[in-house]
Amino acid sequence: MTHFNAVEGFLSIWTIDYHIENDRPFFGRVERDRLFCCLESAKSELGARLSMLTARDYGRMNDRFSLLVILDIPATTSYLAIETPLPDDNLTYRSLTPLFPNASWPEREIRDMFGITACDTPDTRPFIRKGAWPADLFPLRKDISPHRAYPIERVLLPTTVVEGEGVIEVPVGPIHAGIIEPGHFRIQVIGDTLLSLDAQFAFCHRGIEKLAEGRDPLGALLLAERQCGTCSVSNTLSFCLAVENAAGISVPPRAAYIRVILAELERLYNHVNDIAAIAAGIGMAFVTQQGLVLKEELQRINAGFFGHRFLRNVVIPGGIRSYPGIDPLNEMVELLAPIVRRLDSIVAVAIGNSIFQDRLENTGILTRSNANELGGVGPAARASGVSIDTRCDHPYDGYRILPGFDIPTRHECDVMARFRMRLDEIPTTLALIEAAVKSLPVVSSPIAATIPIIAPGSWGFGATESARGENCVFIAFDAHGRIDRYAVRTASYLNWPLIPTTVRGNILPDFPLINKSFELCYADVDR
Amino acid sequence: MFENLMIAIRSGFLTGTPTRFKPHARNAHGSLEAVAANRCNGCGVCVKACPVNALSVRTTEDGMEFLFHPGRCVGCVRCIDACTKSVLRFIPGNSTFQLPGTPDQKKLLDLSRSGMTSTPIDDGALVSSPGDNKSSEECVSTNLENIKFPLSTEAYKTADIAVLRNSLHCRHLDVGSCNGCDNEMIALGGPHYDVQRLGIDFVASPRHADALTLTGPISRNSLVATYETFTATPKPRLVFAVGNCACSGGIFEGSYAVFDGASKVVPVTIRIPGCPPTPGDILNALTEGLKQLQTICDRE
Repeated sequence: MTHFNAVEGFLSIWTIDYHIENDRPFFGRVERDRLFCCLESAKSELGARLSMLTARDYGRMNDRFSLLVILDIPATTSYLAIETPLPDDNLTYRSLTPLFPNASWPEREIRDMFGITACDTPDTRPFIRKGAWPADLFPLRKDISPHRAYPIERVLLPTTVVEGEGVIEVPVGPIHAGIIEPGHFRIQVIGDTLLSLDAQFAFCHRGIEKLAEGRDPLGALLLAERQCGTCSVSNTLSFCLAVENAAGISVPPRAAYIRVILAELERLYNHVNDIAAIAAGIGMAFVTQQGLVLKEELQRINAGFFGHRFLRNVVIPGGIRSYPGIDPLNEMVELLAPIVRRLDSIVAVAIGNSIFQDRLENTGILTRSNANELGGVGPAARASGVSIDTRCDHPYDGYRILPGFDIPTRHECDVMARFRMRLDEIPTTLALIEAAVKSLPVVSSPIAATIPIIAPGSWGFGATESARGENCVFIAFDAHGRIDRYAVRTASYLNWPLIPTTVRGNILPDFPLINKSFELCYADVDR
Repeated sequence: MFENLMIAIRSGFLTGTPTRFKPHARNAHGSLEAVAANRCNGCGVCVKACPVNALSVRTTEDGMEFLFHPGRCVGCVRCIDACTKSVLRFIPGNSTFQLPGTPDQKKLLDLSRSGMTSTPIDDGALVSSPGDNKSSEECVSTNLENIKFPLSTEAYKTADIAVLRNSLHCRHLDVGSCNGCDNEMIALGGPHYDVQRLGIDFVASPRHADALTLTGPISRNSLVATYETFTATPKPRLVFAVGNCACSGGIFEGSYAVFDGASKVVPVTIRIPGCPPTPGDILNALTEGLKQLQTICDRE
């Protein structure tokens, strides 16, 4: 309770007005000129981390734009949302990057999408805009149609310049050699040693946030589900939690447990895939192929028990759409155990191999301070000793009711640690699935609550733990119960800036390996 | 080494093996079929439930027909949930790749001359496409050397296809996909599908490739990359549009940030609908699809 008092005290000092409600993020409005100092104090006093930085366009004549900062207050299980109205004639604010280094990307994005500029931000390059629309047009503003297309310019991507004797620049992408998503890298090397890395994104930008505007929750659900293939459940769940948060409802117990099963099934096949991908990164075909066998079997289980190989179409706002019943789920648990046993025997082969050890150990060190400062999440941060997991820190759905579970952390900080991190998490995942199946109420009760008419102007926030870390969604509704703003901040968005800090001093062939040890989605970053 | 061998022996022969357990959920992959056409009363709730206009109704002289557009369907199963008579179902393995010239819709149900009792629904309101209101994009680019998109269709000879059927090297091109299709293509390289046994491979450079497998609706940010990859591929260059986004733009159709499908930019040879298509569907299109393509070429 003392933490709550601390937050309340903080809000009463800094905000114009604030609301504290149960099961909702704290909310406060702060004047623009005090925002930086307010966040500075939040960081030092409450230990806040930046979860999401975005903007809103209310589409009205006066006080049209505002800045929205969502902070994670680790001491409480809640988030803190701070809204800052911006004067209509001066759409600028003091850059938050000196305070939270991970604000750099959102600041560039807000500049591209809303035309709101951060003063003194260290990086002023465009983030999302790659010549697909004019520089003086801002797609997320309300007066811009989501359907209008613009002439495409061929633009040269501004990259960091590294000069010096013997420095060679290796450009990679956006079309990569394997079956990978598009991203453009400029890798500067001296001889074989990596000096720096500059990554460019947004080749997958599909305008999801804009397309969701004006739709009802069920219509926008399709977009949330298809933002990323391998995070389908997590993104959908965050979306649904945000809608449920806005509507002020909670899901029935059966749905809450099934959602845990779905989220953990997704984590399981992703972790198996990541283990195979890391082995592929050093060309260890045996482990890669055996890993692909297990991943395929897990995906067939997904399809066999929930109808879809990527577990789409099951989670809906208010609950779940369907589930196979308790007996089939028990059968599923029995199918999972041997797969994990086979994984262990495959991994034993990998870890016992001296080349495997040599390539993975002490490669791509992510220091704990970098992980902390840049707001790293998920297994990557946990492998660097940062104990952060949304399932524990901000429990949702079944994770609130299920008995406590271990969140392992490691301290070696290298690729091997991230490899082992996934292995360490798999027993937790299996135990959670088993516990959720055991706790499923036998009596027939509804599996989905009806979403009431959503009050005009209400908003909600949802965060879930995907296989890559915390995925957050902010949703605000307009006067007709339709989505007015849909903002997503995914784990990949937070973790990508970690990778350039880990590559320096490694050899060039280790870059794909380091990249695979994080295994981040580009589609999630670009939206 | 001994351990490796033991694991390999224990995992057994996997290629082409079906799922080892009885499925418990209704499948959302494959092709939508009317499994009980006689139960349909033409109420049209399925058409209304579809969020992507993949179903439509056409009135004929003596009744009406339900049409299905596989290239639009994202497999959200809302039509199946909406149907009170359990008429519809997804049939897996019944893959519906589309060759050039085949219509992008198929007849799902023909209610002509059947003893239909309920009043037919008004079809006018139901057939519309979300992309229709997208403004014209005649001038796609301001400084892409004045290239006209879509690029013109290229002719290929029967002999070319005959060669490719035995050795097809694909360059993968992700231009706005959610990585679902990409993951399914990675699965193709795994032991369950093992495309290399059929002479199919995914290569590292477009200059080594015979075909492009394209996923995603082609985001406008990656137009330059798409164009340059396509022109770097030696002729005859086939284009496989994998997944709904590549077929029609999918749920992103009409967005300011994407083209509505691959055919708006490059000539598409074979479309593989699905969200995402299963590895089996993709494999079927890469083998059976090419076989049928050769037959079409032979005829011409």
